[in-house]
Amino acid sequence: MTLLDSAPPSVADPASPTPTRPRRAGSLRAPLVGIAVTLVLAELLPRAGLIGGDALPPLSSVVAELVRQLGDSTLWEALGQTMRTWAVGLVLAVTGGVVVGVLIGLAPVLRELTASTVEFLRPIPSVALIPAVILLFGTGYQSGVVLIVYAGFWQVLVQVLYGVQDIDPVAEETARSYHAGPWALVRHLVWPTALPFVFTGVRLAASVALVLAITGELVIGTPGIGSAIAVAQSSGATTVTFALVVLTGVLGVLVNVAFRAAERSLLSWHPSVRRAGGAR
Amino acid sequence: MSFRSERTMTALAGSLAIALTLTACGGSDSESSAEPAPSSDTPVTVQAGFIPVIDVAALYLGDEQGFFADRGIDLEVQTGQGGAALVPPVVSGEYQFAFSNMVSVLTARARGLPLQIIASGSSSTGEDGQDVSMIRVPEESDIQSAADLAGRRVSVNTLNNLLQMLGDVAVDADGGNPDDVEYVELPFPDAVAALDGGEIDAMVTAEPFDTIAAGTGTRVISTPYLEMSADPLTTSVYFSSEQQLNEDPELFQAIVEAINESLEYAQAHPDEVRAQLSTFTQIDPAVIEQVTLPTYDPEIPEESVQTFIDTAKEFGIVEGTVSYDDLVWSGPEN
Repeated sequence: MTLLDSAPPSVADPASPTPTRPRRAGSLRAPLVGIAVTLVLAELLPRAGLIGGDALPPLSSVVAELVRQLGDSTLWEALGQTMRTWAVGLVLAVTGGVVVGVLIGLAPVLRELTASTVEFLRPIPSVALIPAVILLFGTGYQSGVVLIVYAGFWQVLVQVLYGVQDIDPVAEETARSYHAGPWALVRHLVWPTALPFVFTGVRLAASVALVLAITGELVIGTPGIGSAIAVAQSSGATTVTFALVVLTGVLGVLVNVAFRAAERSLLSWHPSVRRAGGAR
Repeated sequence: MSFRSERTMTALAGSLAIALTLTACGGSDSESSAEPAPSSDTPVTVQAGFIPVIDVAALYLGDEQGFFADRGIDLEVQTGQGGAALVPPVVSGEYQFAFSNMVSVLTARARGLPLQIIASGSSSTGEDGQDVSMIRVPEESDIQSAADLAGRRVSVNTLNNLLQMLGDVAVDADGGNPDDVEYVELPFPDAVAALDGGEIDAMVTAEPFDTIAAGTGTRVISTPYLEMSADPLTTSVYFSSEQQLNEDPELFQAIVEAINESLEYAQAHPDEVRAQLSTFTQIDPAVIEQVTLPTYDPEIPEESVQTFIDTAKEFGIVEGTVSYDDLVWSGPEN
């Protein structure tokens, strides 16, 4: 989680500033230096023998192992399984979050009724639900999807609620005085206002979904990258374990970069993107 | 015998009890085991939940030898990381049986989960210094015997489970006070590193991590199973749920026979067991050659189970009453 939360921005940020900003070169240097230092430490610390045994293999052997694994079709199969769980879960979480968010957001009564329930359910870690989820949904990829939907739904829902709240009162009055119907209101007022928030929610949910797709496989044993990590770990194969962990880190970065890029190109018209050069 | 994250059996009992109540009506009728006695013409698909450890190699091998197919069983193996992943699907009927260490099943049963042992998984070797679980210290440590562990940091893979019980047994047998031992929960790979780095003073091992730890400058101070009993003990088992056992005793009789034939074959062909390891684990080939294999013995002696029950109670690992008859399925005749 921390890896996914902290690493991607440092990689994605350099591309985001608009050309009007002269700091581009500087803001590109800092993350690169950060990455370089991390890489050097990851190589040297294990070699210095500061960490006992073979617990932490040097980066070069981890990367070599990853390259070897990438030549193996079983890894790609596992990757496909993990990404399928991720994609299905994310689509469901986002769809649910947006629909429910707009409905609740537009009706102050619903909002008040659900506020405490949402705040109660939201912090429950998906992982804590695993035994119950297995009981209800089995050990197939569906259980992973359920975990992802549970975690991702709140991310999107809360963002959409904020987004709907952000509607300009003047615009809303104007729309109402023109007798805009409920659908027109949603289509032309609510949706454009909430869209940047939706994107933030989707991006957060995408990272969380990846974490949970892998965690679900790790714990439940559903085939995928997570279960491959579990097998390597219980075999004491540290290099393989770390190679797969590095792979999940790379996946996290790619997912984040892709969603940021999509956000920028799809929201290029929006003031928040034009001004700040990135989504909030 | 490495049982990763079995902790969950204990924590699980509570959440399962709730979930079971919620799902009392649904999900319990297992579809695959509802069919009558299997025959080789119409194979019955049996789902089994394994932890990827050395012990289950016997069943992979037995399946490869056709012992399950001969009885009309199409064995489908799923892997999971301990109780949290394996108990719920057995209770719900998605899996027909699963693998566990003896203590986890005892704990679950004592807490009211309707699980029963159907067959032996593996047994200790009964050989001093050559067992599947040992207590190791660094070569240069001043610890000479288990009693010296008082006041020291000792790693186990899961607190309040099998390995902590083994630590207590060893210290107690050597005249020390088990309450003085400071147990630390560490996954096996981390424990090997922590022992090497001096963050812990001793480690209760389980294969393949005993062999791995042997390669990092450590020595054995105790063979704890021998302190429990001079004879080999049944240390891991395959279990199912009472409901499934009652619904289709003939199927389970066939499963048990196939498991037992697999265990006998595995015991007679250790090289083939080692060869199986590379198919479902990532254990280093050099380690595979050296690991101490458990004894594969279909017999689950009553004394062995009773020894576990008594020991687990003595050291507070299991609370409540469990008897051999509760715990071990008596077969279809009942």
